[in-house]
Amino acid sequence: MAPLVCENVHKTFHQGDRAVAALNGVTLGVNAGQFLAVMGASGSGKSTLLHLMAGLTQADRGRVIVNATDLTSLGDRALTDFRRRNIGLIFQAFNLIPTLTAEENLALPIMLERRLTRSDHQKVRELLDRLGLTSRRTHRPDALSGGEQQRVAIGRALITEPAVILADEPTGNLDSSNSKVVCELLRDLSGVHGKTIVMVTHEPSVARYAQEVAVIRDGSLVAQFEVAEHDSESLAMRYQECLR
Amino acid sequence: MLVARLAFSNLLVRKARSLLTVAAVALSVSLVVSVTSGYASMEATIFRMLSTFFASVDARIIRQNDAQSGVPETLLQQVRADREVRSAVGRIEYASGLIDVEGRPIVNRNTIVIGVTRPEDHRVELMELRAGQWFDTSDGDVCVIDQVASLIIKDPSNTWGDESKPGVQVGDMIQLPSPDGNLSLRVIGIVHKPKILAALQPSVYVPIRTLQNWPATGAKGRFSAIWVDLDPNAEPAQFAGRWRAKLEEIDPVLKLKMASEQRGELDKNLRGLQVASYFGGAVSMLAAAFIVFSALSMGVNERQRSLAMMRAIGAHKGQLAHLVVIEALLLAGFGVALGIPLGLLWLLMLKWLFSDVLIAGIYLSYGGLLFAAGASALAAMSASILPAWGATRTEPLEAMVPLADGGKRNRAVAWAVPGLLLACADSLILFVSIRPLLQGLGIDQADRLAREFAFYAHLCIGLPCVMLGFFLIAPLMVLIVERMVGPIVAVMMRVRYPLLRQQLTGGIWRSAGTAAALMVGMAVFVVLQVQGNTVIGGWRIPDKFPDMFMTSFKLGGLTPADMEKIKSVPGVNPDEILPIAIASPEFGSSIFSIRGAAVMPEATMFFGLNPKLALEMMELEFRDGTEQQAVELMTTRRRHILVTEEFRQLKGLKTGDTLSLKTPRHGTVDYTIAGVVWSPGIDVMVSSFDLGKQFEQRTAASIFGTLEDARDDFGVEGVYLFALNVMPGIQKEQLADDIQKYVGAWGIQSGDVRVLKSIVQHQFRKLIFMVSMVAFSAMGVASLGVANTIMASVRSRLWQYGILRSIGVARGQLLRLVLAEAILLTVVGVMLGLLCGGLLAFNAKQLLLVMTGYDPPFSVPFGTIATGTAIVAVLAMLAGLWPAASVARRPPIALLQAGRGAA
Repeated sequence: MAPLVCENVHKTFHQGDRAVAALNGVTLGVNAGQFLAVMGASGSGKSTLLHLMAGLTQADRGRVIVNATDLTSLGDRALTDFRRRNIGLIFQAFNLIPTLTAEENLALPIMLERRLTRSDHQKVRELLDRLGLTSRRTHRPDALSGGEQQRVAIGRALITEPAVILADEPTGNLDSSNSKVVCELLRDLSGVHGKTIVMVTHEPSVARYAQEVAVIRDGSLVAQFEVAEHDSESLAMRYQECLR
Repeated sequence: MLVARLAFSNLLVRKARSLLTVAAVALSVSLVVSVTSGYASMEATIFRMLSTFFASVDARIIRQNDAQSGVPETLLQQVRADREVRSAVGRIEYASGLIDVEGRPIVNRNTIVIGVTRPEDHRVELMELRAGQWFDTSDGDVCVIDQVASLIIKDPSNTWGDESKPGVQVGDMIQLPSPDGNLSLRVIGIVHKPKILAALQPSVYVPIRTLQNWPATGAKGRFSAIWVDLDPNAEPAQFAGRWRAKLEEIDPVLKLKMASEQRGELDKNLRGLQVASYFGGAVSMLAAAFIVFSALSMGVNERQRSLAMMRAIGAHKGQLAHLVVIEALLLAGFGVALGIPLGLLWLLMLKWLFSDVLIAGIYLSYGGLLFAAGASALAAMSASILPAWGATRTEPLEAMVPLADGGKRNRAVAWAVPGLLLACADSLILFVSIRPLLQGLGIDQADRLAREFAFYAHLCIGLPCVMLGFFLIAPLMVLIVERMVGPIVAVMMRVRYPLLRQQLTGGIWRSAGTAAALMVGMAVFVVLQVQGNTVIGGWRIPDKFPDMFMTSFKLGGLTPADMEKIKSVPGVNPDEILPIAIASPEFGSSIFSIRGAAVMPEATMFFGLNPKLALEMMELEFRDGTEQQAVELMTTRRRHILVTEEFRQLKGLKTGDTLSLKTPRHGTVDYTIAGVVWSPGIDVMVSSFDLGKQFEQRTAASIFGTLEDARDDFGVEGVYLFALNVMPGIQKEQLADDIQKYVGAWGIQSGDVRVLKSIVQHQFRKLIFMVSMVAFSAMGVASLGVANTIMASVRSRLWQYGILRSIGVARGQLLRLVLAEAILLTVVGVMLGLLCGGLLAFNAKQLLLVMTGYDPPFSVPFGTIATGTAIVAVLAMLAGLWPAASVARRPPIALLQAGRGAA
């Protein structure tokens, strides 16, 4: 079974007396090792879809299945445990704890569960090395560049070896060179290390690093296509067409 | 481990806030440590004074209710013959006037003349002998005096014993006055006593036989007391049992007091003070708790995004709550670690300031230390409950949105409803008695139990509920003040109201916490002032009342012949001299348990007098029965008494009911109530100022009986107190001198009751002011919270301030804007404090009625409360000045950069 499946997912928000349908029956499957970019205009529902996949919010209708577990069936505590062990989250604003070092921020999901073992320490160091952060491991976030902070955040998402990695606009706060580094890193994680990644973005230049693109419009999945078929320009055009 | 690490590092990130919060806890802890240790040191001083200067023997034999009449000298030999007695000596204590070195009587200054059996009585040698030596015989015209007596005799104007001035020296002669012939004594030694003790009661030590042979004392063949030291192998309990039975046979009014009982009595008397010392600490601790709450709330608000992220990547709600609690405990831990040495520093200052008083040195109260540490931890944990709960409510989704939503102020207002309900709990406890319920259940002593329930429930449930209730009301008050008072403050401070709007409500719980901290001190101040003034204001003397009260220290008291002599003194109205015998009986049944005795003493004061004359001289309002009926019953029948309205309220008794009293002559006997009189506040004054302290136990509630019953039941042979009316135009001081001359009882003290009342009121007000220091301490602690809150508010608005400065807002305007916020916060704290204090004062008045039956009208010292309010306002303004000045000083670009960083 695919590590991430959304089945006929509905989600409605209420703004005062007005009901706004954020997702209208989205069905989507992400295969193991796949790198999927979810694209859409502002307010299209792409972030809501990611939140549902992460179990950060519950669908009104439909099911979200991660690693063969229906997230809609879990209570808060079980869902929290599940998220920690099976889902890696990467935020647009990095969201590092300012008082912890890079190494500690990276190890945070494990530290939330238990005291770090020798093998955990080893794993953290290897990951820091892989992310090119060894020399920065004792630095606090305010001493790191944006790119370095996001790499730490990626490391934090990887440390528990989750079934899926969900990234919400991971390059939104980065300059172009750091964006490139982060995108290449995500592509390698999927391509080389077989990680399943879903990334929300509205930039075609970022989506180009994914294997597949899913386009959401007005809460519905309107298109899903292979990236390999497109260059940057045609990808942008295809995306614009989907939005029309 | 991670949680502790995060908690610790969070505190380090906000250094100023953490420091201020730790300082608030430390200040509270130091107050607890210094106040409780100060009390322990004072207690040690009292016991040291007792052992050095008063009776510190294993046992004493005295005459109950009439100590001045003394014990027969013949008893001494019997005591000495007891196999368990190591030594026994007689002592005489006699109050005498003084004559200065020029031979002139010293007006209004008495001395205590102590007859000592030497060389057997070694106890005097414990005193520090500054010059000369002790006499080694029980005869001879010699004396040893203390330093203050020496100074006063030399120079009567040296009232407080200024030791830089000259005094009487060893070898000089002094005289003790008596109409029958002064007693001339050669000073052979000068001892040094703590100044406070010596100044209150200058002492002259004289060989006991010399004193007995001096007719003025009337002590021929008797002692004031026999002091007994037991053999080291003796069984005190057996000795006490044996001698109590023996004394009962010899004379039931002779009583044996064991050292342990003395200590127990003293402990009981000091218990109220001890409770007050802990209560004072608890008040400032409460203020600190609110500041900890405020700091934690700020932390949770500011870290909403981090907390949400932690939830998103797998932190449980409990872990976030744990994080906040650990932070609170760390703050408390640092506060305790800093507060204890600070408290010790205060103690050292106390020792330095009062070295002459604290003769036993400084004693560290380990109970106080434990209380400080425990209460800090408890306060911190309590303060963390709401912020911890707030942290658990952080949604993981908030990590994904650009800015976390910190504003939940409208929901916070909903807390006002449970707050109001909690605030009413104390009133419910005090105004709705459980007595009918207990009576309905057929429980014995329902009245006492209901009263005890009211007291303890008020203390343990009511007061905390009021504080918690007002704290929950605080957010609503913040909203109201910001909307209603904000525009006025804006005009006053010349800032635009829209800029001031939401300054407080933007962080409503941190504002509420700080306002609550300010409220604590203010409320305590209000309740102390209102209650104190109400009690003292309600103490009214009837229009018709004796002109003078006089006391004599003559051994054996004033005889009928003495009273006849007083009648012949020119200026005295011979038909209006009222001898008053005083006894202190215990209630027949254990109406109040030992535990209850901390609240209400188990003894009363029995005033024996001529009822007809007394009611002619004093116009008392009868609340039950009539004057005529009462006088008839009391004069024609035995064992009839008048009780006060307070007594009736307290005991629920009425005319015709009986009251059991323990008497030394006839055991427990029933007295019948002949009438109930209204005597505003007499009982409260008796209880508050412990007029019955000569009886060695605390007393409350006065009852009025006859001289005959005082003599026959309580063994009061001598009368030491009398009231009299004088002819118009007579000088009262001159009259007192004349009476002394006529009666020959030197040592008579006189007082106009109105002057006495004024002195008592003055002392009481001083006491209220002293106790109000607790409130001021709490206000001081709270001002740290104000600084904290303003700093947090400033920090969250750096960007906004940067923009304001960039578009032309001047430094002064920015300073005024921040200060306006401090003013608004102060207004919230003061309003809460006034409301909370008002409610507590209202409840305290009801508590007074429940506990003492005293129901005076409210008396609010508006001027004093206004002064207290001004002090809070100044403290808060000063606290706000630092963050205001620091933000106003920064250039616009620095504010913009710092603001971007903070966001």
